[in-house]
Amino acid sequence: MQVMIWSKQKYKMNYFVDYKEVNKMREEFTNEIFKEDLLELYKEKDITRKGIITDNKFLQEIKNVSSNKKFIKDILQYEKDFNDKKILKHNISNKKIKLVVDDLIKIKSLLKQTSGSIKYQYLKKYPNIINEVDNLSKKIIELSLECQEQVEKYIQIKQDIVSYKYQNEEKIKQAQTIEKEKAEQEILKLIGNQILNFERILLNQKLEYNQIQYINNGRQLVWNIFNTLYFTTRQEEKYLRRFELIYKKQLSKQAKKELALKKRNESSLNWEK
Amino acid sequence: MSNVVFLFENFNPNIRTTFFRHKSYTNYLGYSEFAIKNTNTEHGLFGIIDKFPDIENMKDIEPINQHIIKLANNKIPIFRCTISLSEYDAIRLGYDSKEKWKELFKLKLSSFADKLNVKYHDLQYCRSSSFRKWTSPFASYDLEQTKI
Repeated sequence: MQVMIWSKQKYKMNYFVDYKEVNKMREEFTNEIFKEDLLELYKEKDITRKGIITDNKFLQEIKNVSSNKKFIKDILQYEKDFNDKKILKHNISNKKIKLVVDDLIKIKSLLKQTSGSIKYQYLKKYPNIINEVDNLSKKIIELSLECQEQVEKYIQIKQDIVSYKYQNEEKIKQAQTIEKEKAEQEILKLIGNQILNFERILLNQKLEYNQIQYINNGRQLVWNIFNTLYFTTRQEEKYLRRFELIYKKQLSKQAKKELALKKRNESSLNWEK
Repeated sequence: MSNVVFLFENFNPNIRTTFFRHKSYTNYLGYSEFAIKNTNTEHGLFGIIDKFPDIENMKDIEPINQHIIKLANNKIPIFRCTISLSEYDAIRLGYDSKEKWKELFKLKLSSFADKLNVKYHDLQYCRSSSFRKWTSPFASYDLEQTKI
Protein backbone atom coordinates (compact mmCIF):
# COMPACT_ATOMS: atom_id res chain seq x y z
CA MET A 1 0.00 0.00 0.00
CA GLN A 2 1.32 3.46 -0.91
CA VAL A 3 -0.06 6.62 0.67
CA MET A 4 0.37 10.37 0.28
CA ILE A 5 -0.55 12.34 3.39
CA TRP A 6 -0.85 16.06 4.02
CA SER A 7 -2.78 18.44 6.22
CA LYS A 8 -5.34 21.08 5.22
CA GLN A 9 -4.51 23.29 8.21
CA LYS A 10 -3.41 26.83 7.38
CA TYR A 11 -0.73 27.38 10.01
CA LYS A 12 2.80 26.22 9.32
CA MET A 13 3.77 22.71 10.38
CA ASN A 14 7.00 20.81 10.68
CA TYR A 15 7.88 18.69 7.65
CA PHE A 16 10.20 16.36 9.57
CA VAL A 17 8.90 13.46 11.64
CA ASP A 18 11.20 12.01 14.28
CA TYR A 19 12.57 8.49 13.78
CA LYS A 20 11.17 7.43 17.15
CA GLU A 21 7.66 8.28 16.01
CA VAL A 22 8.16 6.42 12.73
CA ASN A 23 9.34 3.35 14.62
CA LYS A 24 6.27 3.54 16.85
CA MET A 25 4.04 3.62 13.77
CA ARG A 26 5.84 0.60 12.35
CA GLU A 27 5.33 -1.30 15.60
CA GLU A 28 1.64 -0.46 15.65
CA PHE A 29 1.15 -1.72 12.10
CA THR A 30 3.05 -4.96 12.68
CA ASN A 31 1.10 -5.67 15.86
CA GLU A 32 -2.18 -5.06 14.07
CA ILE A 33 -1.32 -7.17 10.99
CA PHE A 34 0.09 -10.14 12.89
CA LYS A 35 -2.56 -10.00 15.60
CA GLU A 36 -3.83 -13.53 15.01
CA ASP A 37 -0.35 -15.04 15.06
CA LEU A 38 0.53 -13.15 18.21
CA LEU A 39 -2.59 -14.36 20.03
CA GLU A 40 -1.51 -17.96 19.52
CA LEU A 41 1.99 -17.11 20.69
CA TYR A 42 0.66 -15.46 23.85
CA LYS A 43 -1.40 -18.56 24.63
CA GLU A 44 1.67 -20.76 24.27
CA LYS A 45 3.62 -18.39 26.47
CA ASP A 46 0.97 -18.55 29.21
CA ILE A 47 0.92 -22.33 29.15
CA THR A 48 4.73 -22.58 29.38
CA ARG A 49 4.85 -20.02 32.18
CA LYS A 50 2.33 -21.98 34.21
CA GLY A 51 4.39 -25.11 33.59
CA ILE A 52 7.55 -23.39 34.81
CA ILE A 53 5.91 -22.39 38.10
CA THR A 54 4.31 -25.74 38.84
CA ASP A 55 7.40 -27.81 37.91
CA ASN A 56 10.02 -25.69 39.64
CA LYS A 57 10.51 -26.74 43.28
CA PHE A 58 12.48 -23.65 44.27
CA LEU A 59 9.66 -21.32 43.19
CA GLN A 60 7.13 -23.43 45.09
CA GLU A 61 9.26 -23.12 48.23
CA ILE A 62 9.41 -19.35 47.86
CA LYS A 63 5.63 -19.28 47.56
CA ASN A 64 5.27 -21.13 50.85
CA VAL A 65 7.65 -18.86 52.77
CA SER A 66 4.90 -17.17 54.79
CA SER A 67 3.85 -20.52 56.30
CA ASN A 68 7.43 -21.65 57.00
CA LYS A 69 8.02 -21.02 60.72
CA LYS A 70 11.75 -21.55 60.67
CA PHE A 71 12.31 -18.97 57.98
CA ILE A 72 10.19 -16.37 59.80
CA LYS A 73 12.11 -17.02 63.03
CA ASP A 74 15.44 -16.45 61.26
CA ILE A 75 14.25 -13.18 59.75
CA LEU A 76 12.92 -11.94 63.10
CA GLN A 77 16.23 -12.79 64.74
CA TYR A 78 18.05 -10.80 62.08
CA GLU A 79 15.75 -7.83 62.67
CA LYS A 80 16.34 -8.03 66.42
CA ASP A 81 20.10 -8.01 65.94
CA PHE A 82 19.82 -5.05 63.62
CA ASN A 83 17.82 -3.11 66.22
CA ASP A 84 20.23 -3.97 69.00
CA LYS A 85 23.30 -2.91 67.11
CA LYS A 86 22.36 0.16 65.19
CA ILE A 87 19.64 2.14 66.90
CA LEU A 88 19.30 3.02 70.58
CA LYS A 89 17.10 0.92 72.81
CA HIS A 90 13.69 2.29 73.58
CA ASN A 91 12.75 0.33 76.68
CA ILE A 92 11.26 3.04 78.85
CA SER A 93 8.50 2.49 81.40
CA ASN A 94 5.17 4.31 81.28
CA LYS A 95 5.86 6.01 84.64
CA LYS A 96 8.90 7.81 83.25
CA ILE A 97 7.02 8.90 80.16
CA LYS A 98 4.18 10.24 82.31
CA LEU A 99 6.64 12.67 83.89
CA VAL A 100 7.64 13.84 80.40
CA VAL A 101 4.00 14.24 79.40
CA ASP A 102 3.25 16.36 82.49
CA ASP A 103 6.01 18.75 81.49
CA LEU A 104 4.72 18.83 77.91
CA ILE A 105 1.27 19.90 79.13
CA LYS A 106 2.83 22.57 81.32
CA ILE A 107 4.77 24.02 78.36
CA LYS A 108 1.59 23.92 76.27
CA SER A 109 -0.24 26.13 78.77
CA LEU A 110 2.73 28.56 78.80
CA LEU A 111 2.89 28.69 74.99
CA LYS A 112 -0.74 29.83 74.78
CA GLN A 113 0.27 33.19 76.28
CA THR A 114 2.98 33.83 73.63
CA SER A 115 2.71 35.30 70.14
CA GLY A 116 4.76 34.62 67.01
CA SER A 117 6.24 31.45 65.62
CA ILE A 118 6.98 28.55 67.94
CA LYS A 119 10.68 27.91 67.42
CA TYR A 120 13.57 27.65 69.85
CA GLN A 121 15.47 30.62 68.46
CA TYR A 122 12.45 32.95 68.41
CA LEU A 123 11.25 31.93 71.87
CA LYS A 124 14.41 33.25 73.50
CA LYS A 125 12.37 36.39 74.26
CA TYR A 126 10.63 34.28 76.91
CA PRO A 127 13.42 32.84 79.11
CA ASN A 128 10.77 31.27 81.31
CA ILE A 129 9.65 28.90 78.56
CA ILE A 130 13.15 28.20 77.30
CA ASN A 131 14.20 27.10 80.82
CA GLU A 132 11.27 24.69 80.95
CA VAL A 133 12.13 23.25 77.52
CA ASP A 134 15.79 22.84 78.49
CA ASN A 135 14.85 21.05 81.70
CA LEU A 136 12.62 18.69 79.75
CA SER A 137 15.32 17.92 77.20
CA LYS A 138 17.78 17.18 80.01
CA LYS A 139 15.22 14.84 81.54
CA ILE A 140 14.82 13.00 78.23
CA ILE A 141 18.60 12.59 77.92
CA GLU A 142 18.73 11.13 81.43
CA LEU A 143 16.11 8.53 80.53
CA SER A 144 18.62 6.19 78.91
CA LEU A 145 22.31 5.56 79.49
CA GLU A 146 23.01 5.00 75.81
CA CYS A 147 21.58 8.39 74.97
CA GLN A 148 23.93 10.01 77.51
CA GLU A 149 26.81 8.13 75.91
CA GLN A 150 25.92 9.47 72.50
CA VAL A 151 25.77 13.04 73.82
CA GLU A 152 29.20 12.69 75.44
CA LYS A 153 30.59 11.23 72.25
CA TYR A 154 29.18 14.17 70.29
CA ILE A 155 30.87 16.66 72.61
CA GLN A 156 34.15 14.72 72.48
CA ILE A 157 34.13 14.73 68.67
CA LYS A 158 33.53 18.47 68.57
CA GLN A 159 36.48 18.98 70.96
CA ASP A 160 38.71 16.73 68.84
CA ILE A 161 37.92 18.70 65.71
CA VAL A 162 38.87 21.96 67.43
CA SER A 163 42.20 20.50 68.63
CA TYR A 164 43.47 20.34 65.02
CA LYS A 165 43.18 24.09 64.68
CA TYR A 166 45.90 25.04 67.24
CA GLN A 167 49.36 23.79 68.21
CA ASN A 168 49.69 25.48 71.59
CA GLU A 169 48.17 23.27 74.33
CA GLU A 170 46.77 26.13 76.40
CA LYS A 171 44.94 27.49 73.42
CA ILE A 172 43.61 24.02 72.68
CA LYS A 173 42.21 23.70 76.21
CA GLN A 174 40.54 27.10 76.03
CA ALA A 175 38.98 26.28 72.66
CA GLN A 176 37.79 22.91 73.92
CA THR A 177 35.95 24.43 76.90
CA ILE A 178 34.23 26.94 74.60
CA GLU A 179 33.37 24.15 72.15
CA LYS A 180 31.87 22.01 74.93
CA GLU A 181 29.44 24.77 75.88
CA LYS A 182 28.56 25.30 72.23
CA ALA A 183 27.92 21.59 71.65
CA GLU A 184 25.70 21.36 74.73
CA GLN A 185 23.68 24.31 73.51
CA GLU A 186 23.40 22.76 70.05
CA ILE A 187 22.02 19.55 71.49
CA LEU A 188 19.55 21.45 73.67
CA LYS A 189 18.43 23.41 70.62
CA LEU A 190 18.08 20.24 68.54
CA ILE A 191 15.93 18.51 71.17
CA GLY A 192 14.05 21.71 72.01
CA ASN A 193 12.97 22.23 68.42
CA GLN A 194 11.59 18.70 68.28
CA ILE A 195 9.64 19.25 71.49
CA LEU A 196 8.26 22.55 70.15
CA ASN A 197 7.21 20.87 66.90
CA PHE A 198 5.22 18.42 68.98
CA GLU A 199 3.73 21.28 70.96
CA ARG A 200 2.66 23.04 67.78
CA ILE A 201 0.69 19.96 66.72
CA LEU A 202 -0.96 19.87 70.16
CA LEU A 203 -1.95 23.55 69.96
CA ASN A 204 -3.44 23.21 66.47
CA GLN A 205 -5.54 20.21 67.48
CA LYS A 206 -9.17 21.02 68.33
CA LEU A 207 -9.93 17.89 70.37
CA GLU A 208 -7.83 17.26 73.46
CA TYR A 209 -5.86 14.03 73.81
CA ASN A 210 -6.67 11.21 76.24
CA GLN A 211 -4.02 10.19 78.71
CA ILE A 212 -3.30 7.06 76.65
CA GLN A 213 -2.89 9.10 73.48
CA TYR A 214 -0.58 11.48 75.33
CA ILE A 215 1.60 8.61 76.52
CA ASN A 216 1.76 6.98 73.07
CA ASN A 217 2.66 10.22 71.32
CA GLY A 218 5.11 11.16 74.06
CA ARG A 219 6.83 7.80 73.64
CA GLN A 220 7.13 8.43 69.92
CA LEU A 221 8.65 11.85 70.57
CA VAL A 222 11.28 10.34 72.86
CA TRP A 223 12.14 7.73 70.22
CA ASN A 224 12.49 10.39 67.58
CA ILE A 225 14.86 12.37 69.79
CA PHE A 226 17.00 9.30 70.49
CA ASN A 227 17.26 8.51 66.79
CA THR A 228 18.21 12.05 65.81
CA LEU A 229 20.91 12.12 68.48
CA TYR A 230 22.29 8.81 67.23
CA PHE A 231 22.43 9.93 63.61
CA THR A 232 23.90 13.36 64.35
CA THR A 233 26.77 11.73 66.27
CA ARG A 234 27.39 9.33 63.36
CA GLN A 235 27.57 12.28 61.00
CA GLU A 236 30.02 14.10 63.24
CA GLU A 237 32.15 10.95 63.39
CA LYS A 238 32.39 10.96 59.61
CA TYR A 239 33.36 14.63 59.71
CA LEU A 240 36.11 13.90 62.25
CA ARG A 241 37.51 11.08 60.11
CA ARG A 242 37.79 13.47 57.19
CA PHE A 243 39.60 15.98 59.41
CA GLU A 244 42.05 13.32 60.53
CA LEU A 245 42.80 12.38 56.94
CA ILE A 246 43.51 15.98 56.03
CA TYR A 247 45.53 17.18 59.07
CA LYS A 248 47.40 14.04 60.07
CA LYS A 249 47.99 13.23 56.41
CA GLN A 250 46.83 9.68 56.86
CA LEU A 251 46.28 7.60 53.77
CA SER A 252 42.82 6.35 52.90
CA LYS A 253 42.05 2.61 52.86
CA GLN A 254 42.32 2.35 49.09
CA ALA A 255 45.60 4.29 49.02
CA LYS A 256 47.06 1.98 51.69
CA LYS A 257 46.10 -1.06 49.61
CA GLU A 258 47.69 0.38 46.50
CA LEU A 259 50.91 1.22 48.37
CA ALA A 260 51.11 -2.33 49.73
CA LEU A 261 50.65 -3.73 46.23
CA LYS A 262 53.43 -1.48 44.92
CA LYS A 263 55.90 -2.52 47.64
CA ARG A 264 55.04 -6.20 47.33
CA ASN A 265 58.05 -7.05 45.13
CA GLU A 266 60.55 -4.59 46.62
CA SER A 267 63.79 -5.95 48.03
CA SER A 268 64.68 -5.35 51.68
CA LEU A 269 68.05 -3.78 50.69
CA ASN A 270 68.18 -0.05 50.25
CA TRP A 271 70.48 0.43 47.22
CA GLU A 272 70.90 4.18 47.61
CA LYS A 273 73.01 3.78 50.72
CA MET B 1 6.55 -14.65 11.00
CA SER B 2 8.33 -12.05 8.86
CA ASN B 3 8.31 -8.33 9.46
CA VAL B 4 6.32 -5.62 7.76
CA VAL B 5 8.23 -3.29 5.43
CA PHE B 6 7.37 0.23 6.52
CA LEU B 7 8.92 3.19 4.71
CA PHE B 8 8.14 6.72 5.76
CA GLU B 9 9.52 9.61 3.72
CA ASN B 10 9.74 13.29 4.62
CA PHE B 11 10.41 15.92 1.95
CA ASN B 12 11.73 19.38 2.62
CA PRO B 13 9.24 21.68 0.84
CA ASN B 14 11.83 24.47 0.57
CA ILE B 15 14.03 22.43 -1.77
CA ARG B 16 13.20 22.80 -5.47
CA THR B 17 13.42 19.08 -6.33
CA THR B 18 10.55 18.13 -4.00
CA PHE B 19 8.07 19.85 -6.31
CA PHE B 20 9.08 17.58 -9.20
CA ARG B 21 8.90 14.54 -6.97
CA HIS B 22 5.27 15.23 -6.08
CA LYS B 23 4.29 16.39 -9.54
CA SER B 24 3.86 13.03 -11.21
CA TYR B 25 3.36 10.84 -8.16
CA THR B 26 -0.47 10.86 -8.20
CA ASN B 27 -0.50 9.59 -11.77
CA TYR B 28 1.94 6.87 -10.75
CA LEU B 29 -0.30 5.86 -7.82
CA GLY B 30 -3.43 5.75 -9.92
CA TYR B 31 -2.24 4.22 -13.19
CA SER B 32 0.63 1.99 -12.04
CA GLU B 33 0.48 -1.42 -13.71
CA PHE B 34 0.70 -3.14 -10.29
CA ALA B 35 -2.11 -1.09 -8.68
CA ILE B 36 -5.36 -2.88 -7.87
CA LYS B 37 -7.85 -0.94 -10.00
CA ASN B 38 -11.27 0.23 -8.81
CA THR B 39 -14.26 -1.68 -10.18
CA ASN B 40 -15.82 1.23 -12.13
CA THR B 41 -12.70 3.11 -13.21
CA GLU B 42 -9.30 2.62 -14.81
CA HIS B 43 -7.31 3.99 -11.90
CA GLY B 44 -6.77 2.59 -8.40
CA LEU B 45 -6.88 5.78 -6.30
CA PHE B 46 -8.99 6.21 -3.17
CA GLY B 47 -8.86 8.37 -0.06
CA ILE B 48 -10.21 11.48 1.64
CA ILE B 49 -9.82 14.93 0.06
CA ASP B 50 -12.32 17.67 0.92
CA LYS B 51 -12.59 19.02 -2.65
CA PHE B 52 -13.22 15.58 -4.17
CA PRO B 53 -15.72 13.64 -2.06
CA ASP B 54 -16.00 10.55 -4.31
CA ILE B 55 -12.55 9.66 -5.57
CA GLU B 56 -13.24 6.00 -6.19
CA ASN B 57 -15.86 6.75 -8.85
CA MET B 58 -14.01 9.61 -10.56
CA LYS B 59 -13.16 8.68 -14.13
CA ASP B 60 -10.33 11.20 -14.57
CA ILE B 61 -7.81 11.95 -11.82
CA GLU B 62 -6.25 14.99 -13.48
CA PRO B 63 -8.01 17.49 -11.11
CA ILE B 64 -6.52 15.62 -8.14
CA ASN B 65 -3.12 15.77 -9.79
CA GLN B 66 -3.51 19.53 -10.30
CA HIS B 67 -4.61 19.95 -6.65
CA ILE B 68 -1.47 18.20 -5.40
CA ILE B 69 0.74 20.22 -7.77
CA LYS B 70 -0.79 23.36 -6.27
CA LEU B 71 -0.05 22.08 -2.76
CA ALA B 72 3.56 21.33 -3.71
CA ASN B 73 3.90 24.77 -5.27
CA ASN B 74 2.63 26.40 -2.06
CA LYS B 75 5.31 24.50 -0.10
CA ILE B 76 2.92 22.44 2.00
CA PRO B 77 4.68 19.41 3.50
CA ILE B 78 3.56 16.12 1.97
CA PHE B 79 4.54 12.76 3.50
CA ARG B 80 4.78 9.42 1.75
CA CYS B 81 4.34 6.05 3.34
CA THR B 82 4.65 2.55 1.89
CA ILE B 83 3.58 -0.49 3.81
CA SER B 84 4.12 -3.94 2.33
CA LEU B 85 4.03 -7.57 3.27
CA SER B 86 5.61 -10.67 1.83
CA GLU B 87 3.43 -12.61 -0.60
CA TYR B 88 3.11 -15.57 1.72
CA ASP B 89 1.92 -13.45 4.68
CA ALA B 90 -0.36 -11.29 2.53
CA ILE B 91 -2.28 -14.30 1.22
CA ARG B 92 -2.27 -16.08 4.60
CA LEU B 93 -3.62 -13.09 6.56
CA GLY B 94 -5.99 -11.88 3.83
CA TYR B 95 -4.15 -8.69 2.88
CA ASP B 96 -4.41 -9.41 -0.83
CA SER B 97 -7.61 -7.38 -1.18
CA LYS B 98 -8.10 -3.63 -1.15
CA GLU B 99 -10.78 -3.61 1.52
CA LYS B 100 -8.57 -5.25 4.15
CA TRP B 101 -5.93 -2.53 3.68
CA LYS B 102 -8.69 0.11 3.91
CA GLU B 103 -9.82 -1.26 7.27
CA LEU B 104 -6.27 -1.34 8.60
CA PHE B 105 -5.52 2.22 7.55
CA LYS B 106 -8.78 3.54 8.99
CA LEU B 107 -7.95 1.90 12.34
CA LYS B 108 -4.53 3.52 12.50
CA LEU B 109 -5.43 6.92 11.05
CA SER B 110 -5.92 8.58 14.44
CA SER B 111 -2.48 7.45 15.66
CA PHE B 112 -1.00 8.67 12.33
CA ALA B 113 -2.48 12.11 12.97
CA ASP B 114 -1.15 12.07 16.51
CA LYS B 115 2.39 11.23 15.43
CA LEU B 116 2.43 13.78 12.59
CA ASN B 117 1.18 16.40 15.06
CA VAL B 118 -1.90 17.12 12.93
CA LYS B 119 -5.55 17.31 13.96
CA TYR B 120 -7.52 14.23 12.93
CA HIS B 121 -10.15 16.14 10.89
CA ASP B 122 -7.41 18.11 9.08
CA LEU B 123 -5.72 14.99 7.73
CA GLN B 124 -5.99 14.43 3.96
CA TYR B 125 -4.70 11.43 2.04
CA CYS B 126 -4.92 9.54 -1.22
CA ARG B 127 -3.58 6.07 -1.76
CA SER B 128 -3.63 2.90 -3.77
CA SER B 129 -2.86 -0.70 -2.97
CA SER B 130 -0.77 -2.82 -5.30
CA PHE B 131 0.29 -6.40 -5.61
CA ARG B 132 3.82 -7.40 -6.60
CA LYS B 133 6.16 -10.34 -6.21
CA TRP B 134 9.01 -10.42 -3.70
CA THR B 135 12.53 -11.09 -4.85
CA SER B 136 14.50 -10.43 -1.68
CA PRO B 137 13.42 -9.68 1.87
CA PHE B 138 14.98 -6.20 1.65
CA ALA B 139 12.15 -4.23 0.07
CA SER B 140 13.25 -4.55 -3.56
CA TYR B 141 10.55 -5.40 -6.05
CA ASP B 142 10.36 -7.59 -9.08
CA LEU B 143 8.57 -6.00 -11.98
CA GLU B 144 6.58 -9.09 -12.92
CA GLN B 145 2.96 -8.94 -12.02
CA THR B 146 1.35 -11.93 -10.40
CA LYS B 147 -2.19 -13.01 -10.81
CA ILE B 148 -4.42 -12.81 -7.76
